[in-house]
Amino acid sequence: MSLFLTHCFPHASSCTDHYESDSEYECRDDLFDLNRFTQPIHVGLDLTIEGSRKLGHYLLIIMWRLILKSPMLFRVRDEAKEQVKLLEKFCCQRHEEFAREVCCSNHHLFEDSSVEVFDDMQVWASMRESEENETREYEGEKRIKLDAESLSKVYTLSNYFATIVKKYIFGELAKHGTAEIYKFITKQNKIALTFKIEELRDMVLKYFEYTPSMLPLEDQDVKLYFIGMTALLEYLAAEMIELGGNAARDARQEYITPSCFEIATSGDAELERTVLFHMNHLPLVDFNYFYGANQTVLPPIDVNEKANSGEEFNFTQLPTELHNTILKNVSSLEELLEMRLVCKQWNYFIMNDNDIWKSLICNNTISEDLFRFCDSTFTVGELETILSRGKDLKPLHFGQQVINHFYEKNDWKSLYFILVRRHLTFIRDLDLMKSREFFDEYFNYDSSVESYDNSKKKLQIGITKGVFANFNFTKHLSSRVSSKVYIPKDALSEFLKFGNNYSLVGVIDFSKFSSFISCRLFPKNGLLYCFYHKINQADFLFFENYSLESEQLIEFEIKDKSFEFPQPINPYQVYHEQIIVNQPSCCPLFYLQQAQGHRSGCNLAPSVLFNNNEDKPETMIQSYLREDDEDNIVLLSDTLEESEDTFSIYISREDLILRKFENAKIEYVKPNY
Amino acid sequence: MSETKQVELTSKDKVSFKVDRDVILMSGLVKDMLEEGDEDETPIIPIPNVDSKPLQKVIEYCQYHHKEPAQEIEKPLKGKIEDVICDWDKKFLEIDQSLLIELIMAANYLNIKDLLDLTCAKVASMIKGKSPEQIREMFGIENDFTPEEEAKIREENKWCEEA
Repeated sequence: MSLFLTHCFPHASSCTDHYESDSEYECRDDLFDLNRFTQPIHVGLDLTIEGSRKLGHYLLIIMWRLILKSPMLFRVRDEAKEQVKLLEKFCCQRHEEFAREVCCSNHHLFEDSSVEVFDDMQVWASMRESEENETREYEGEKRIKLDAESLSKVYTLSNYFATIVKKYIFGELAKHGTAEIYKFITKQNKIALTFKIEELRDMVLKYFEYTPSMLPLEDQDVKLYFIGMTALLEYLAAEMIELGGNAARDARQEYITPSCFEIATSGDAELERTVLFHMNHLPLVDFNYFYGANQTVLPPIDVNEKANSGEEFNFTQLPTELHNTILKNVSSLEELLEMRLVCKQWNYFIMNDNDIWKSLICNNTISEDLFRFCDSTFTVGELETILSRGKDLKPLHFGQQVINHFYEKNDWKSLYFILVRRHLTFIRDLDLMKSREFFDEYFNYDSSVESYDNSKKKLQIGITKGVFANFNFTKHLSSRVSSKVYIPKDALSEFLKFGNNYSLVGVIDFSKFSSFISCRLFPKNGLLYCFYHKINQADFLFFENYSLESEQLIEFEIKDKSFEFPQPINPYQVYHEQIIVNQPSCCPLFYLQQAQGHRSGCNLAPSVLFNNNEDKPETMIQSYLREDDEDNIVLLSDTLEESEDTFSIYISREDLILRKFENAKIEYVKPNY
Repeated sequence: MSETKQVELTSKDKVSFKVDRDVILMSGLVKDMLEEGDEDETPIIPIPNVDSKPLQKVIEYCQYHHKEPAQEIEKPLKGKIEDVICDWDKKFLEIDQSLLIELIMAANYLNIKDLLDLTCAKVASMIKGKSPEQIREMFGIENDFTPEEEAKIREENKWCEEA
């Protein structure tokens, strides 16, 4: 790693002047300026200025919390007035502190040595006491003792780091980070760090408003602390640059831009979790401080730290880890959702902690034969039993597949919505599909992918455009499902089971369900095939990791073509990606030139304001939006009255902004019949 | 031989409690520490994060539930917590808020799951029906959402609610 780093930051401190941008986001020159580290890099790719800022930003978030949270600095800061005298003391205190913590709560981290550490603790504690109480005469003796302990000091120090790092960085990252720290603090004279420990120290001095004498680098403890922290910083920087570089290469970019880091972060579960975790914790004021926007305001000192034994305890003292445990006891979805609004951290807990959802599901009895194998009422405990032997349930059903899918991923939030709230009710009702109303309600012909109707509280799922592309519809309304279906190659046998008796209704490509994914209620990808059986049954197959674009699809012939699409009520219909308007004059098309760079979040349009005459007040009408191939948004209106005049379209600015179309150009295009 | 074995716990304010080894094994932390294999007759375990008052309460809890295993609290809570726990627990929880918090922290530190569940359930029943503002105030949390983010969450929430 060190080799890689020297490669990575060849002129660690000599290239400040390359980046003299005066952007508002520029770090204060003397504070944690990563720009100076990030010159031409090993991956052969340069960091752009913005890129290095983004990197600095991420690192800041993580490192700063670590520093703030490490007990030593709290100590020093809290008692800052006692200055030098105290500084001598805190080294001892710190050791006692972490030895305790390490010994009592984390000794599984270093199985073989807890006794040793425990001894350490005793030694340090007694030393501290004697330092306070006894006269100077004994000091010589104590110093000798101290030297004898210096080896184990290094050892304990690495445990100290292990404790903090494990707490604030996750997974493999923490493991490697700790290893890195350990390497540097044990061999501090042999391997050189690329980052300068003085810089980190200067930052800290500045931040806590210390004088340099309060954290003398000559002091072995202080030095080791900063060596450790700098090593971690270096490791994280290297890791992120590597990932960012990969992302840049994947995107065929020559520079690492901020978005590369975003991609890299979201692509790496541990990094994502770490960054998110810290993002959600860090008080905003910290950023401001660093970016020089709000220099006078220091983040509130953590008043809960100790020192109030005998005082009243209240909820503010509860460590945040326990908020989680409390949330598990929340009884209703409504309350839980409301609590998302408390703060970012709670929101994160609620949206990401499976245990919360698991306990919410528990005792919510699941009734109705939502899926065919669920033929009785049962609780989650029973469900788990069913699922554990799940695979032998036949035939394959979408319900079971989906439940299994989420169960295997331990995704209890999705299970909650499927089982308890039944946002997927349409599946159960599929045998109603022969009724026209049903079909119209759930499947939109204009290929809108999905929408949620607030007034009816119903989920609508449309069949994707891809479906239509893959079918040869006959021209008329009573179209039949074609014989051509594209299915995953490996899954041929599953389809053969259906071959004779089923006709295919449609395919839903989950990878197109952009807005659901943000709710994480559905799998991120996969193909859902809906079959319709002769005797009015429906069956579903679900294949993970496929999309309609993937190359592993093969053509498959469906023999039974008897299924008839119900006749649509809408005056227009999308067939084969062409819009066929039954009553041409009543269906104007409007193209919205989409603002660049915003592809998502635009396929929902519950309402758009229209009128066809400027004298009339604006009226709300039902309309649909869809994306066409040119990234335009096509607005389809089905209730406009016939008129020879040009139509004016009024879309409220809020509506546009909400859909990220604030710069949209609205253009009227006369349909070409 | 083992049934008479005792353990001595020392609280933050240096008060010692002698407890039967079996009883205090309910604490995952103590259990782990004892398994480290020291052969002392009465091992002394410092509990440097916990004051004597909550520690006493913890020991009380362990002594009772050592014999009478705690029933699992149904999660999520339906109605009031008082309706789902046994009489002894009810009485046990008749404490002021300050001690409750200390107890939670002690249970967390000592790794006593049942006690942590019980106390957290109590807190959950205390925040039931409170608005986000009230909760923030109670826990001393700063609202770090921008109005837009708040609106976004509300929008998402609408989606999740039942008809």
